[in-house]
Amino acid sequence: MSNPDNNIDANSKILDDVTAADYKYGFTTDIDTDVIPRGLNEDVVRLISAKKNEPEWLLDFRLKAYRHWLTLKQPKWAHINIPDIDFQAISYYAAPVKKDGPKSLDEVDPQILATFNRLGIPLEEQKVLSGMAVDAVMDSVSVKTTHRERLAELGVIFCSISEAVKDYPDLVRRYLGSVVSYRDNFYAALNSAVFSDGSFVYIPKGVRCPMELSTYFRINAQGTGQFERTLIVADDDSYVSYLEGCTAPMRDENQLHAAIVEIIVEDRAEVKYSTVQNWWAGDAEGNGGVYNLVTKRGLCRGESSKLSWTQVETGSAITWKYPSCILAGDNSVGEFYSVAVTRNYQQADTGTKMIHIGRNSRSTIVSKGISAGHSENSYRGLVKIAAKADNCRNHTQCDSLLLSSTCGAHTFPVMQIDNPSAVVEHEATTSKISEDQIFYCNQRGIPDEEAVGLIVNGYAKEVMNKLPMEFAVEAQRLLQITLEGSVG
Amino acid sequence: MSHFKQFTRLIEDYPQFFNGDRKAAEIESFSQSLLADDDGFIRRFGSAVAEMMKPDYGVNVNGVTSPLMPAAAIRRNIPDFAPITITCVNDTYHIPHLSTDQRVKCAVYDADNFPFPINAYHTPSHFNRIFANKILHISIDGGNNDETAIQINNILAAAVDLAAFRRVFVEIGGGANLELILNDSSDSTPHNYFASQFVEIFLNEGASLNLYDITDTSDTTSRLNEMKIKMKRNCRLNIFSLSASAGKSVNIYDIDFESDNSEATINGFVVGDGNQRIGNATFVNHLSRHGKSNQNFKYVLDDASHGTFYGEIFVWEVARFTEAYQSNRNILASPDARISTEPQLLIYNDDVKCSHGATTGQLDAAALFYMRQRGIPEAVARTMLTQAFVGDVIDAIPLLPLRDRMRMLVEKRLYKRSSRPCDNCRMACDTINRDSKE
Amino acid sequence: MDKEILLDVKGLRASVAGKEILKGIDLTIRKGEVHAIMGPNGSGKSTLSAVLTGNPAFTVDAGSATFNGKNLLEMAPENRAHEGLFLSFQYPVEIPGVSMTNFMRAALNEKRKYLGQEPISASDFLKLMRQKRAVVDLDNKLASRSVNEGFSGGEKKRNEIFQMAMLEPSLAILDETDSGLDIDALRIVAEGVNKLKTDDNATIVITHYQRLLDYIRPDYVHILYKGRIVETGGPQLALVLEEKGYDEIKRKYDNNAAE
Repeated sequence: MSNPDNNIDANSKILDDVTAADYKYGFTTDIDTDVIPRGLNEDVVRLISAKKNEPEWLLDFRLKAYRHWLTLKQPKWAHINIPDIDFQAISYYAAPVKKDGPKSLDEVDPQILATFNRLGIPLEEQKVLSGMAVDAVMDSVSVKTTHRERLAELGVIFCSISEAVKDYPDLVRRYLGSVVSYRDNFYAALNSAVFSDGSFVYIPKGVRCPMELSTYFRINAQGTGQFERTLIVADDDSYVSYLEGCTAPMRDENQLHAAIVEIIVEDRAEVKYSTVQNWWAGDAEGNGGVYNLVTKRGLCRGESSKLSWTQVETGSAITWKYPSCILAGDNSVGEFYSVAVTRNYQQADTGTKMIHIGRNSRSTIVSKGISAGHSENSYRGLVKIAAKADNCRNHTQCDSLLLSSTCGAHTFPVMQIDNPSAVVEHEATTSKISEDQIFYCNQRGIPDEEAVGLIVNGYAKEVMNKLPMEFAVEAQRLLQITLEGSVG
Repeated sequence: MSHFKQFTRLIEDYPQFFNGDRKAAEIESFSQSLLADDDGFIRRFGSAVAEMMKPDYGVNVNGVTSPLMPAAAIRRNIPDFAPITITCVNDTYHIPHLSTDQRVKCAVYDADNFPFPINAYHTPSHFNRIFANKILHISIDGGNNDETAIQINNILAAAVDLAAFRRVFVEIGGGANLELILNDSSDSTPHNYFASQFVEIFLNEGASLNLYDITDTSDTTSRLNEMKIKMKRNCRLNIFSLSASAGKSVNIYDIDFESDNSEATINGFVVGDGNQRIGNATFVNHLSRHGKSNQNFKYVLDDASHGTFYGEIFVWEVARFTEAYQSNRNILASPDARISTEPQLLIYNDDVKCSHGATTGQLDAAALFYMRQRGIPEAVARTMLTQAFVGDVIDAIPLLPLRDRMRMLVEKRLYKRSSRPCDNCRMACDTINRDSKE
Repeated sequence: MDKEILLDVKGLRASVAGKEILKGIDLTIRKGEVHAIMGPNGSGKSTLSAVLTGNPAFTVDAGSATFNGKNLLEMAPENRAHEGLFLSFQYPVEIPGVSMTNFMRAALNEKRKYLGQEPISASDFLKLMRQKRAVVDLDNKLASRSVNEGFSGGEKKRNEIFQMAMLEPSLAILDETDSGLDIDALRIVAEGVNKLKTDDNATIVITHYQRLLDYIRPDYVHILYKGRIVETGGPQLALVLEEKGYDEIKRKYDNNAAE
């Protein structure tokens, strides 16, 4: 047996090598961008609304949110070290300028097409991914939504939220803010005041959406924040699988991303929401990177409704998000599957809330944290069983894998049980990667780096398996790349 | 400061009892700890504290001595067990004459003359420090590993609603072994009692301590209790937190692994009914290498009782090769019972084995049917299973006379609740169990 | 055939979680008889024992069951036990923290109370325990442990028969008592059952294989298939079944059962 201290050194060196992988999405696109001056006040809110030609009620909504936001303070309760953000130093609207005026509605700037091609998201009609409809969002606006006609035949609405406000004002007005109120929290209030674009999805009664719907978010412009808003409504007996991907250029400054996702699931409907989050995480010294401060929540309003969140979080300097389920319908089901990888100086405080209100509602939480370098990785969760919610079930499995001696891995679950028929189980383990497993791989000729990759992939498999096929391959590759140079 | 309003008002109204630099500093640090709430004490236990503070308690600011009540004290003794017995009536410690045993020293100091720093850690100890005017000091000499047993019977008895402040400081010398029993009791009484207690214990190298914190009080008794234990190298610590009947109470157990190679366990149960509010918070701080900790808390909550568990395992960067485990299991036995549980892990190095688990559920339905098929009525079967549920905590008690007593205490309590007479309870079976082992 | 009827089941239908398992069972058992119930997996054998003993997970949809002249289906599980119905569980339940001694004493005294008798004295109880342990050669150590906890498969089954000996039921249902037993354990368990056999009690042996019936000789063999007793015969029926397997039964009755 060799000296354990040597082992530790050798291991941390390999870890460092593995975590020092390149961020291949870090390029910028040189296009003209319409950016409004930095700073936030009522006039800015009015300007955003005016630029988007919004109806009066939406401006009202924004102004109420803005005024409420002024009364709030940046929250500090999470286990992350977040600097005070100068909200006046950010520009709240940035849109790529269309050259020479639009020739047709479908025409997209070739530069933007090239950008999304490089990200693996072709937008040209002849090249679009067949099994997937994509809404591409660059900075503050949606640049293109594919497959709209085919979806329209089924009555499925998939468009940018700005278009939805114009074309389906009643639907948007009925549901906007119904799950995440502008009063919900600091960032939700901010988003409600300044949100620029995002996707809107409506699946009519009895329709099984035939393809994956996907939104791809890209921050490009400098000194801007992204405040998108997604609203998904699944009417009775419908089904949809929705994917979200995101990247940003490498910049030294921190960029702010404060999004809201609201989902309404009616009787017997099912929504599957998958995220692969790969915002720029900052460099090895912890400079730059996106602050990803997101409020995601779904309301399982209908009986036997189901909402499933799957997330693979590898990017962002700071992640603060808790995709949650309000299980209001009887027999409703909530799921949360998460892999969160942090390295260098990344900080993640992520988890979920499962609020059981309906009888016989069930929830499952599987969280896999992987921390390396000097990062901080926390799971934070709430399971609440309301007094009238009989026969509810929750199972939570929450594991942390530590890949360095300088990182932190934390677990902060809260279980509030107000009904005696509930069965609530929480299990959590924290351990480092097993030396026995690595040695076993070594003995079979697999070098440390690949061994760690294999082991970590195995560890995260339970969550990865929940992703749609197209995404799973991408996510697995991403996990591998993220961990390159992180092994120890 | 709203949670402690009646006491902060007392300070304002009677400044003559709270003057001097020391008091001023203590009052200041208390208000700081309330305001900052760094450990989340107020966030988690504020509502329980508010409940405790509803009655208007009298406070013994003049330092009037409560006389020893021999009859009451004797009733608290445990059969077949003869420890050094200290009786505390309200806030007055009565210590026995100890000339025969030079290794054990017990003395009561005025807080003003106490020769050691008067520390405070969490909000309850900050609070206690302002009002506790006497400190019970116990020290056990090191150098030989004979076992010492000390029992402190805390009795609350007064003709008015009363708040009592108790403070205990224990030093255990290198290699010494101590069994320390704190037995809180109060007879059923129309009066409301409130006890604030802070126990601080230092274990020197190789020392070992079994600490039993027993609460068997009336529903009108409240208790705010903090225990801070610091361990040097190679120490062994077992804490038993036994809330058989605890009115409204909150306990904090805070353990520091200051040097390598120590081990600690905390085993606790709560049997709650009526309107009881019972909270336990553990802070296990691994500050050194090769430490091992294991926590096991069980709650059985009936009627409209509410339970809270907060368990924190903190493993610092230096604390390599730590093993830390925690389990919290709860049964809600009535529609109005509530439990809130927060098992927390904070890990700052990678060479650790840590886990926690928390479950809330019902008695095993398969076991229940099995017992009924053998002819045991449902109510009795439930009681037996409940008893078994907390049984592993009791079975872990190394002190046999105390184990038997705790078993009886729990049985008495559980059978009192089931409508059936207690002819199946183990009090009658003890002889059988013993005989059948021959 | 002139012996007194112990159990009379008529048209019994039962379901679990909304799924009908028993689709009309008729069964009459008299004192002194041994009945074997055989059938392939999923035919409803264990459901029948669960329904007769009153497992709350199962719902009775129709039919009747009379035991000692009383309506069995109305009684709480513990009262069915007091009346003399005993189930040897296919999977005996582990009950950590409840000692065998306490468990048995509670069971025995509750039965005595039901029958209007005084609780048994401590010394008589111990004597009885010792005496009955011998029936199945149960280790003394097992008696002082928690119920079934840490028992091997064979020990659990022996423990079931020991409890049967303690409670002296008038009708014992042995639910796959042979499963998971090696040949020696099987012999001990079967001999135990035979020792407890009298002219006044009866036994239902639920089993998959003929093997156990070499030791416990049945008077009647019933074949249960898809929730119905499809054939009834003497001991030779089990031998035929052993030879031809359940496929024959399935072929023969699948059409009928499909409706």
